[in-house]
Amino acid sequence: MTANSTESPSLMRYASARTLKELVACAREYETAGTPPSPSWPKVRLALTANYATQFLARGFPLALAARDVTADVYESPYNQWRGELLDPASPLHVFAPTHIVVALTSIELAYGALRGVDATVEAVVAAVEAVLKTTEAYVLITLPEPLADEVGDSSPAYEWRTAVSNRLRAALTSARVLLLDLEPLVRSVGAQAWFDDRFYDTAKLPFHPDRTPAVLGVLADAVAGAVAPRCKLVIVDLDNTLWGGVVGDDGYAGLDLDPAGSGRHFLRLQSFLAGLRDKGVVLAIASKNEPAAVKEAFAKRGEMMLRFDDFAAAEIHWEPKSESVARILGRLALSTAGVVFLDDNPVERAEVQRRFPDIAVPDLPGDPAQRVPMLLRTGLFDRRLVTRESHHRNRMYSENAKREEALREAGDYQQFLRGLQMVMVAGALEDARERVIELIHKTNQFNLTTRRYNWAELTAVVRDGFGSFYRLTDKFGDNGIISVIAVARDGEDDARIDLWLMSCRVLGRKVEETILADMVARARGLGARRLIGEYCATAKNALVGELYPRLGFTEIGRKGASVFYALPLDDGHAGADAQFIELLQNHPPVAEVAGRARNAQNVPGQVV
Amino acid sequence: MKPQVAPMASEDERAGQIVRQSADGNGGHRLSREAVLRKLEPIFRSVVDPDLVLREDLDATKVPLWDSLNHIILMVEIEMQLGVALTTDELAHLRNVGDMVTLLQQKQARV
Repeated sequence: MTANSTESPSLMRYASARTLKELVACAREYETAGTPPSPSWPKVRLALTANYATQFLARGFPLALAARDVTADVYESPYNQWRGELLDPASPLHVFAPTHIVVALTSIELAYGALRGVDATVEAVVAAVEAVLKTTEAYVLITLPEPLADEVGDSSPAYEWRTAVSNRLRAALTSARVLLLDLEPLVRSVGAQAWFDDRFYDTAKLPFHPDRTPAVLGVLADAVAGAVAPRCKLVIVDLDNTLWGGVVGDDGYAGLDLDPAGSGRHFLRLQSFLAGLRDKGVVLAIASKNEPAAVKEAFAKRGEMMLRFDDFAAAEIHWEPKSESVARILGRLALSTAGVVFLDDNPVERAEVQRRFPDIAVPDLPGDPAQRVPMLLRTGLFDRRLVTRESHHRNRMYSENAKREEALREAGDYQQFLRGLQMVMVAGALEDARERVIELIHKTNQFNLTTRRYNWAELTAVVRDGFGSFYRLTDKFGDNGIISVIAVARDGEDDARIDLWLMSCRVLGRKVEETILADMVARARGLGARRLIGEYCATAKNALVGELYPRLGFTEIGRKGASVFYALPLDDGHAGADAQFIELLQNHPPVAEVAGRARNAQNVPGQVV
Repeated sequence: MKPQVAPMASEDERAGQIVRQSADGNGGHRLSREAVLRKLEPIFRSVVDPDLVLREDLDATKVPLWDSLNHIILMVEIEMQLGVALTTDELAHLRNVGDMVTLLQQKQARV
């Protein structure tokens, strides 16, 4: 579950209830002081009928469903009356007129109780379920026999009994109103030691340790809520380092890691997982900060991918905020936010999307690709038990005015979001990160204004009379590492020329380039320059920054070869208003000294790369 | 199971401290009945009734909220918090505080 219904204290505590005592305490609190259910929640009339003691489950159900944004009236059958309740059209269960019936059957009673053998068990269950399907219009959620403690090896009679009964029930109960629930994954994940406890069956007819009640209730409530609320209908997925390993704009399609024998396997695993969802009718969409051509080339030329570009119903591939991409995808597909999942390896992008769309499920994708699919499965978002909050805005009519107002509000929100990131950028001397600087110079393709693949000697020559710097960005999510490199040369008395400027695309849209520009302006002024000159040299991969200098307030002054030159006058007080979102710290010696050190460095024999 | 007569409380116990007494002459130590009762009281309060004052003469018939559901929770919490294992019989029939104290003394419930 997404566990975002945490307004009331009892719901919040319920989310962390691990023991029976905690569960019952939450339920008691919810019964006396619980917040009234929201009128927008779907309502169910839930009948619980079983062959074991279900008082605790029945007590917890209203709370467990409220935590999943469902309002429930709950009826609990008397102990072990499930057959009569389902078969008899005049039974109290029928009188209750349920919309959903949970039939909870433990193997202990099925295997060792009155019903003997596979045939008798299957016939009894099928007859009861088919009867109630005819006499009511309710959905029937029935548990398949859970593992028995006596299952030792796959030739033990208990295992054979259970697999035979399960298989036959699966084959017989095919109505669209029947949902079969297998508790085996739950038993496996909590472990036999924690699950089985005959003492409580013998004394209280509980087929599992009492402290497993919250977990069992969770599975059952997920299933009920999943039968009510919208299922997972749309997955919006990032590409670089999410759908494939690497950054297509920098590494090229050939450099993407999709090696099934190596770490690329985990990206293929995610693709396979998404392909499975697509086969079940889930819509897929792309939200990626990239050049569209590079993405299409990757899909076209990397045939080993399990997803084709055509598998995605919508693709937003550009450099605008991801929340904007999500908004456009929802608009194009005419979908609400209910049942939408957003997958991105970058926590900043996730936070940005979650901030604008609190209703969208945004799992915290682990940094390690190997852990991602198991983690996603554990969220329960992707089977038929997905629960997301209904969008409160779903039916809002968007007039032109409303749209404009919202755009303004969101602009404010975005600035607040940027401030909330608590970004700090440190400017450092090139020689303090020499290897990383050279690596970035040779690797960065997209945000790279001139794409000059300098070696160390060439770089130091460029900045001899000017200045160079790397920038390291940290935010509240952690250290982004060195994300940008600049090299500014001195051209005559008046001009400082940005000879090299490259940046990681990961941090686009966070006012990093504006902050770096403000730093360059300050340094160029310090050198006595009167103009800052920018140069854009187009390559096959850097269209992204084709309009960077005009956007930053530079004016075109001329062209030469593949390069366009721009100028920014330094004497009229560059405001640098967009640099307010990042605190810039200097880890530089004074400019003159850097220039001196660079000069010296070049003269040291053996230090030239 | 016949409840044992509670021994006289020592000076230390009257001062509210938990004391271990020599148990059975073979080196084992056990909590005093009073100490066991003081360990049980917060468990009863958290499960059954927050205002309950636990006494050895209480049983399930005298405490309205000590029903069969809460009894299961009590047993689970006693096992977990006091580090003892109860048998099926004990789980089913331990509905008297004095019996509980005796049993937990024998099982050397941890402090």
